[in-house]
Amino acid sequence: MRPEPLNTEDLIDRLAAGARPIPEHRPARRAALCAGLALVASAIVVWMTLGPRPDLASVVDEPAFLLRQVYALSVAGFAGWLMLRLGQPGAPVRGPVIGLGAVALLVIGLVAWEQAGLGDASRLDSLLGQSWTQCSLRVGAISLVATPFVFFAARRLAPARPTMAGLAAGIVAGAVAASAYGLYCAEITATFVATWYSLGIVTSGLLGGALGRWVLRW
Amino acid sequence: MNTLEARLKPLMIGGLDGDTRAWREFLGLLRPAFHAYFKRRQFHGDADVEDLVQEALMAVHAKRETWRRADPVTSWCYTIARYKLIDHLRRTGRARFVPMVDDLSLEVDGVEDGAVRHDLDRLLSTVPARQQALVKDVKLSGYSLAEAGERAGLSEGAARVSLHRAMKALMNRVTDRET
Repeated sequence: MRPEPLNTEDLIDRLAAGARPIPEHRPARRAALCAGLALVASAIVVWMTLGPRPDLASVVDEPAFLLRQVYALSVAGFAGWLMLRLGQPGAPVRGPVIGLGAVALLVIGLVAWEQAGLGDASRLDSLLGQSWTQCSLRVGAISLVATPFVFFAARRLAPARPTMAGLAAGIVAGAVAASAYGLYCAEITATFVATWYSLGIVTSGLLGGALGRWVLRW
Repeated sequence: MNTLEARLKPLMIGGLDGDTRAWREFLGLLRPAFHAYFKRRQFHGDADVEDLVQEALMAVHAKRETWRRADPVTSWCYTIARYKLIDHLRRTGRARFVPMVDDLSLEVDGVEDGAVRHDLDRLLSTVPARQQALVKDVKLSGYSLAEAGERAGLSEGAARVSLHRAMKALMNRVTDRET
């Protein structure tokens, strides 16, 4: 790897000579920028492949649309925070883990509340909607567009556990993809979003974990 | 109280601000600390240790933006050193001798000692209690053979034989784990 054995003192001199100023919070800013680019790229792909929703302007204030976006973006935010913390040696991960857990609990609570208000006949419909066969698959596919952006930011970190950091990065990519797909999707139940969006996000997370094991070593 | 931390922190901040002299001093202070860290976990030649020191110093330099000002510098540095050590052992196929958890709540020299003690206790627990006591007294606490034998209720000769057996068993144990 190293061309020739180097004296440690010389190495230190050489490294020190290259110490450029580093702006504070650079990893966090880079991660936010990359996640933003991932979202734009994912939205463009949704637009180009599935086409724009003709009624987008009229649905943006519907509860289902807002729920999708709040869910996807809060998962992206907490997972991104977790990815950062995992990539900063010695940094605590409790905050983002609690955040992700809280989002999961809220969504489960929302689904329970929705189901409680439904008759037996409409339960299955609320779960399957019109597009359950496509949703997770599409979120998963779009996450492949988002993943390189997120991993670009993750590569610059220093995760002591590359697989875990990859898992977090994959969840970010999946959640960003879910947000982009949510611009197109016309499903209206919380149960649908909680199930099929989450499945897509988790799939992306697992892929990210497998990838991170190799790509996020440093 | 925690002198290394107190010395490293302002230098780290200086280095992040682009002060090359502070950064040089930082790396210079870290070098012996890393050397000691790797030395205690490696039972091979010094070449390995110096390679690891260099690798860890390069990682510290390349990844310096990942330090959060809220975290102790020393725990950041030792987490990097541990990652590099585990990575090295994994590549060379000997990952079993690294403690998975260094207790970072201790002060930094304490982190070192705590981890070493943990390794040592685990190793010592593989020989009988009387031999453990002998090894500790003679090799760690500095008692003479006669004194240690008396403490263990043995004659000096018996203590010598027992200690010899214990050390042999421990050496076997160490080389076993490493190959």
